[in-house]
Amino acid sequence: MTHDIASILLLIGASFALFSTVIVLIAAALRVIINRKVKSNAAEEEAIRSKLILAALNPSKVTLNFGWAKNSLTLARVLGQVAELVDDRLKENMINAAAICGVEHGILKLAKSRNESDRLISASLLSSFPTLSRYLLNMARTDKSIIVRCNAILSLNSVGRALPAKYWSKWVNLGAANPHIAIISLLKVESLTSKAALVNALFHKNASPILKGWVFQILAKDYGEQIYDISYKILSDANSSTHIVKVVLENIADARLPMELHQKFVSAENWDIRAAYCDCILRLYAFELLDSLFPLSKDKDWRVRNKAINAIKVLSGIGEHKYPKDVVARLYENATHPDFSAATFTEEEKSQHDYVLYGKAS
Amino acid sequence: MNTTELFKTSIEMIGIFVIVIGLFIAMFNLVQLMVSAWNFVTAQPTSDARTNWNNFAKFAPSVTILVPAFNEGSTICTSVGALLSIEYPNFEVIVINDGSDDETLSVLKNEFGLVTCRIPEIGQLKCQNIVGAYKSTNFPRLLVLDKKNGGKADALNAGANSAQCEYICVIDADSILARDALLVACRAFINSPEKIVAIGGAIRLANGCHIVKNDILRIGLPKSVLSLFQTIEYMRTFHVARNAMSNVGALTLISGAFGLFSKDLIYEVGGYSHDTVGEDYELCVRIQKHFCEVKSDARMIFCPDAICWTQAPETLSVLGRQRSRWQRGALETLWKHKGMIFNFKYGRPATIALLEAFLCDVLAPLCEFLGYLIIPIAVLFGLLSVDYLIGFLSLSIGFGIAQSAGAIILEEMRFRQFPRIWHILILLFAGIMENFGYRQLCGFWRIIGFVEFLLGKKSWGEMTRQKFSNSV
Repeated sequence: MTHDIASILLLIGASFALFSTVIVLIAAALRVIINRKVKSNAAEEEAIRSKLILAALNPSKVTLNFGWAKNSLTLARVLGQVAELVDDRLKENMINAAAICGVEHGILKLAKSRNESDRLISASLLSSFPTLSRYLLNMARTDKSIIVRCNAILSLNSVGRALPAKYWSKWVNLGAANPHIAIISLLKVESLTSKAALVNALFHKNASPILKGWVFQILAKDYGEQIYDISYKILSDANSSTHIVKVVLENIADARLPMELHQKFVSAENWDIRAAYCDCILRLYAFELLDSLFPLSKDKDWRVRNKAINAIKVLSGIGEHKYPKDVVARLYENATHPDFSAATFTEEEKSQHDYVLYGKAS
Repeated sequence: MNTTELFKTSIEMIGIFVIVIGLFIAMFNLVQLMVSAWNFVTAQPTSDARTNWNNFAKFAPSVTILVPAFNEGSTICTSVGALLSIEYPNFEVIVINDGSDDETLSVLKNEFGLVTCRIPEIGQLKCQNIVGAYKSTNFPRLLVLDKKNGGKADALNAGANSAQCEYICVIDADSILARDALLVACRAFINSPEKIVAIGGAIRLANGCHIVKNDILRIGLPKSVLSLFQTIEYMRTFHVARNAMSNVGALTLISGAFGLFSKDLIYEVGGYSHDTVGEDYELCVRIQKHFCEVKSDARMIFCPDAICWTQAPETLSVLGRQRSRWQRGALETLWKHKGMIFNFKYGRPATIALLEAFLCDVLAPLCEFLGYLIIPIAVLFGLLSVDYLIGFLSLSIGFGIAQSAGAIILEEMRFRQFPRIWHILILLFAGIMENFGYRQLCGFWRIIGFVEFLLGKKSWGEMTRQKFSNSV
C-alpha cells in the first residue's frame, strides 16, 4: 500500500515535470515559426508601404496591379499606419488604390483582432467605406476598449450616421469614468434627447468629475443662456468636485456672467477655485471685473492672494504703465504698501511661492 | 504507549503535517497559475507605445516619481537619467537622499547641476528632518531632497510630503523604468480614476540586458547562475502570483520597486510605516484594510504590461540578506495585521491573500525547518520510508518545474520579451535546476528571516549596489 501511494506521488510529480517541459519546448518551436513570420511580414509590409505611397503620389500613372497584396490584413494594417501620416488627398488616393484589391476584407479582419491598435486602424479606415458602417456601429456599441469605441463613433459621425440615442445615452453613463468622452464634443448634439442625456450625465451620481467636465464643455457651447442655470445648480451642489467647478469657471466666466455666480466663485470654500477665478479674470482681461478681485487680494490663503494681486497688477498695468489714479487709490485701500508681493506674504509663504514658480532658487 | 512509540508517532505526525502543508501550497500555486493563464488568454493585449501616446497622453494625470536613495552612488545617475527621459507628459522626479554615507548626493549635484532651493512642504506625513533641497538648473522636473537617515519608509514619506502631483510613483534607485511604463500603468487611472487608486507594475531583471543611454536596448539573460534563477523566480512571482491575486481582487502587495498610488490615498492612510522592513507590503495591507473599514469599492490592481527593470543581487551574501529581510518584513506585517488573517470582514484580501501569506511566510519556513530536522532523525531511527521520500520529492519538484514552465509559457503568450529561442530553453533549464539547491537555499534564508523576526531585528542589512552591467 505504502509503495503504491509513493509510486502514485512519483508518477504525478514526473508527469507534471514532463508535461510542462514538453509544453515549453513546443512554445520554443513555435517561436521559430513566429520569428520567421515576423521577418517575412516586415518585408511584405515594407513592399506594400512603398507601393501605396507610389500609388498615392501618382494615382493615374501607377498601374493598379495589386497582385502583391496577397494578404489583405497586412495591406489594411499598412494602409492604416501610412494613412494617418499623410494629408486627406493622398489618403484618399491610397484608399482608392487599396480598395481595388479588396482591402475591405482586411479592414474587417482587423476589426476582429485582439490587438487594440488593429481595431483602431479598422475604426479609422471604415469611415472611408460607408457601406460597411454597420460594422462601425457594432464597434461603437460593443468594443472592449473605450478608445476604439470613441474612434468608431467619430468615424460613424463622419459617414453621416450616428449611434442611436438609446446606446449613446447609455454609453455616456457607462463610460462615465473615461475622459475620452471628450470626443462627444465632436458629435452633433442635435436632438433634445441627447442634450437631456448630457445634462443627466452631468448630475449622475456615479459620473466622474472628468466626464462631467467634458460634458459641461459640450453643453457650454450649445446650450445658450440655460447654461447659467446649470452652472448655478452645480455651484450650489455641495458634492460638486473642484474639477467640475473649475471647468464651469473656465467655460462660462465672462462679463455676461450673472453676479450671483461671481459671488459663488469668490466665496468658494476651496482655495483652488478662488485662485482659478483670479486666473480666469486675468485670462479674459476683464477690466470691468477688477473690483471682484480686491476681496481676494486679502484672502486667507496666500496662493489666492498671490493670484489676485498678480491679476490686479497686470490688469491695472502696474510695472508697465503709469496706472490710473483711481486704481492706485483702490490698491492702497486694499493693501498697506503698493508693492504687494513684498508686503502681503510672509517669508515662509514667499519661499513656497518661489518653489511653485520653479527655478527661483534662493 | 511507551516513549519510543510516542516518539515514532510524533515524527509521523510532523511528517504528515509537512506533507499536507506542502501539498496545499503547491495546489494554491497551481490554481494561481490557472487564473493567470485564463487572464492572459482572455485579456486584451496592451497597445504599442505610439497608440498609447496618441490616445492617452493628453489625459495622463500628473505623477510624482519618488526615488529613495541610500548609498546608491554607483547607479543613481543612470536611474535618474532614465527617469527623466521616460515617455510621459506630466511628471516630476523627487530623489530622496536618505543620509547616504557615499557620494550619492555629490554625483547627483555634478551630473544634474543642482542648486539649493527651498523645501516644498505639502503633506504632513511623519519623517526625519530634511536638511536641504536642490533643483536642477538643466532639468526642471528634478528635485533632490537631502535628509537625515531614517530608512526607506521615512524617505518615501518625506518625498510624498513634497510631491506636487496627483499620483505618486515609487521606484527603487537601482531600477530603470521602461520608457512607456508609466503611461501604460496610468491607463487604468485614466479609465477609472475613482475605482483604481493603486497600481503595481511588473519587475524584471536588468542583469544581462544591454543598456545604452539609460535605456534597455537589448534584452538578454544574465550570465550568473544566481541571477538566472532569480529571473525565473521573478517571472513566477509577477506573471503568476501577483497577476492571479489582482484578478481575484485580493492583491496585497505592490512592489516597492515600482508602484503607483493616489497621493490622497497615501495621505489618508498615514503614509509608509516606520516599524517594518517590508514597508511596501505593510502599506498595501493597510490600504486594503482601510478600504474594508470605510466600505470603499476602490481597488489596487497589478498591471503586467508596465515594466520596471531592476538589478538582482549577484552574490550569495547579498541575496541572502535580501531574502531574509523580505521574510522578516512579511512576518512583521502579518503580525501587525494579525487581526485580518482569516477574518471574513476584510474580504478577499484577508481570506485569500493573507491566507496564502500565512501558508507561505509562516507555515512554509516552519515546515522546511521541521523537514530538514526530521529527515536525519527519521533516517537515524529507521523511520523513513524511502519510497515516500522519493514520491514526495518527485511531487514537490514536479510542481516546482510546472510552475516555472507555466511562467515561461505565460511570458511567451503575452510578452515575448526574450528575443532568442535559446533564451527560452535556458530559462526552462534554470526552472528545472533551481529545484536542486537554489530553492532549498531560499528556504534556509527564510528560516533565518524567521529567526531574525523572533529576535526582533529591525535593521535592513547592508545592500551592495553595482553599476548596471553592459551599460554604456
